[in-house]
Amino acid sequence: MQRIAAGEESAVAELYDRFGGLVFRVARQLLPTQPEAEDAVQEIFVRLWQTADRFDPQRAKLVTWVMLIARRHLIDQLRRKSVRPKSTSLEQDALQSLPQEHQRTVPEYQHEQATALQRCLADLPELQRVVIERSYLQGFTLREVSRQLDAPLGTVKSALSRGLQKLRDRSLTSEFQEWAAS
Amino acid sequence: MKPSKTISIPELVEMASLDAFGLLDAEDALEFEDAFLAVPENVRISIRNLQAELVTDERLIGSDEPDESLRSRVLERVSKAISEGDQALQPLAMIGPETSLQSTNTIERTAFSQSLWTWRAVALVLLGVSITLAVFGIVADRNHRDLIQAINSRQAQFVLNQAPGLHNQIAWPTDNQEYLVASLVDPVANTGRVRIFTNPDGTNPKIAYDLDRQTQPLTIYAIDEAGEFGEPGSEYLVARLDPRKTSADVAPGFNPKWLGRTRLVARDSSGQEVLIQV
Repeated sequence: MQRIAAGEESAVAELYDRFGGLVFRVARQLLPTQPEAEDAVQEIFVRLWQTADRFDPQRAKLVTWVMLIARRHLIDQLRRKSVRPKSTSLEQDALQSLPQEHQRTVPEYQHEQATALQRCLADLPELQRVVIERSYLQGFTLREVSRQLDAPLGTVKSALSRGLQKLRDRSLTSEFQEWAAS
Repeated sequence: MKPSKTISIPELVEMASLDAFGLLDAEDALEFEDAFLAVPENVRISIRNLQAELVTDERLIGSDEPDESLRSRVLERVSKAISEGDQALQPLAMIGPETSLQSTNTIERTAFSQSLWTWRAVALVLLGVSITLAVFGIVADRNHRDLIQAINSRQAQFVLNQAPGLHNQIAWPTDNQEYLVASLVDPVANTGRVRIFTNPDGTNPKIAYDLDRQTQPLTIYAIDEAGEFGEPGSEYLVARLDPRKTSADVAPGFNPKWLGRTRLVARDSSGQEVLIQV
């Protein structure tokens, strides 16, 4: 990163070769079209060059830093576009135990091509799904989501953490693999 | 060593996963930062590995592959940004040997040469101004030295009473791009500390703090000793702090221009200054 901060273009090329694919995938996940994702990737690498001197290897691995800068840029872009959902109030009972029929509702946030993640989202309890959609995919802060859902901040944090963990569980992955093979 | 008096290892791990995705708010990010720095190195290594594993998990980020042409477009864009950054210094670079300037147009070369002498003249004037300012600076420095010596003993006391290692490590921008703009600490005891964040333009002020729960409620005032916002010595209400909580909003009428131009203090109900700005 010191070489990148110094404006060494070969170092930027190495950075792209290592992380360009990852950055593109997260851009494609958050932005609706391929051209927008490609533009964002270009802007993210400019941003990485501009902020390279702030990278602290004691604080995080390089890939974590790169993805953090990427996500923040993409979230800023989403906020500029002001595509925001209306506030939703979940009943307190729903926070405790959501009815079965509500656990397989279709995500309200959809791209032209539904990604594997969005398909897996449909299998999550409603609160976890909504929190992940709004924070992880739409860039709202957890406090904003807490206000939108009229749910305690601690509940929102736990729902997000548990939901992300579930998405990584093998059961959902195997379901996705079955779907992909069909 | 325990990670923090309020954050357990499982909570730290949960916050680490949210931090990796940039999903923590300003005060939570600060809380995580403090706890992360407080745990042993082997735990920090585990957390760094966990975060790297999370952000690269293809189950969470999909599997689309970029077009091969994207690489050249990215490199071209970065190269352009780098060269635009270099061009910002170009006027200074022109103050150089005339032989380094190559032009095929005689008229342009003559005009440029005249321009070059103009730049050199400007450079000489700037050099003279710099020397004059340096002389004034030396004189002013002598005048300030006594003042600095007078406050040195008090500053030393502040440093001794600050929590170790926490005050110079906040270089990690939060997910809202808010930055630390002011810190208040207790110079004589361990009552706690307060941090004030705003956006670079002063908007969206937030106050995060960690106070001893036995402490009385505190009130932060901005003391306008220079009279920049009214009568010299005027005091303005900034925020009220409940020791049982960890964050507060600024009071109605708060002016972000107070930060850096007034002295902040936190007083208890008897009016005693418990926390001071550092």
